[in-house]
Amino acid sequence: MDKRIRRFYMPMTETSFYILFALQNEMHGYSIMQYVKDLTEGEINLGAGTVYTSLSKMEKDGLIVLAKTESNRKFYNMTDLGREILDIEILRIERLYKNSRT
Amino acid sequence: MVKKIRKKFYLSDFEEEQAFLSSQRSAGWRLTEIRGKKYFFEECDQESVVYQIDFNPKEQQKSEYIQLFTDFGWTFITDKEGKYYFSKPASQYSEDQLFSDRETKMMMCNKIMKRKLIQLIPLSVIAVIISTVLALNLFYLDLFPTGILFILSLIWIGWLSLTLYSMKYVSGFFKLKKIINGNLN
Repeated sequence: MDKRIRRFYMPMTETSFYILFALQNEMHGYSIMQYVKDLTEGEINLGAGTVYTSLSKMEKDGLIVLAKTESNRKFYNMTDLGREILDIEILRIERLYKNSRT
Repeated sequence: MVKKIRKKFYLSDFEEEQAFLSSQRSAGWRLTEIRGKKYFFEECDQESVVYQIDFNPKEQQKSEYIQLFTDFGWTFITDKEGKYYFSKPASQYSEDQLFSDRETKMMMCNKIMKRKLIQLIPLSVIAVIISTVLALNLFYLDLFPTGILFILSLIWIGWLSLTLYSMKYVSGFFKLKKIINGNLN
């Protein structure tokens, strides 16, 4: 894995984590925000600029890929690299959780 | 009724620009268009509306970009030199900032900083040329009285504008840093 990508996504910001987590299923910008809002019971309300900027960066870094464009909305999917990074992050967060409970 | 206001905002003063547009709207003037330094307003009801600017100079898929913001409830008004102007009624219960976390806001501020540095290049080139001409005149060429006068005035004007510009630019950088480190509401 690229050093630059490792440095930027490990550890990942909460925003990046939830966006990447949402993209385990094909989604577009607004549906990602809705999904994250529901998942966190309204706790995390992503802004339009935040979602757009994150998606552009993740696409450029190869974590996600454009699946289709429908009525001007770009739908994204996670790539293998994205999956790999998300799994590493989930392990890290689980370890963090476990250690903070002992 | 339509009115026009001439106003200059630097790229790093986008928060002031947003506040300016918002205050015009609450006074009953809705932004319709921006041409150069001229802001065009149309008379409307007095409303509380949030204005937000996104700096996105490299966007190639403009319609998809605007669609995403529209989905989030933002109305696209106009764009000028990479700045995109969006508005949203303030009463609406939802996110009224374009950026909800520090990292993405920082990315936008970094784009502004990069643009500002690029804008500094012509000024630096001019400064180098002035100093070269000056040095050549002092050490290698004969100086005519008119030449001295011309060069002295050049230096004077050059330094004056350089000082003014660098002060404005440096304060712009500090401001962006403050925006990044400041609270996101």
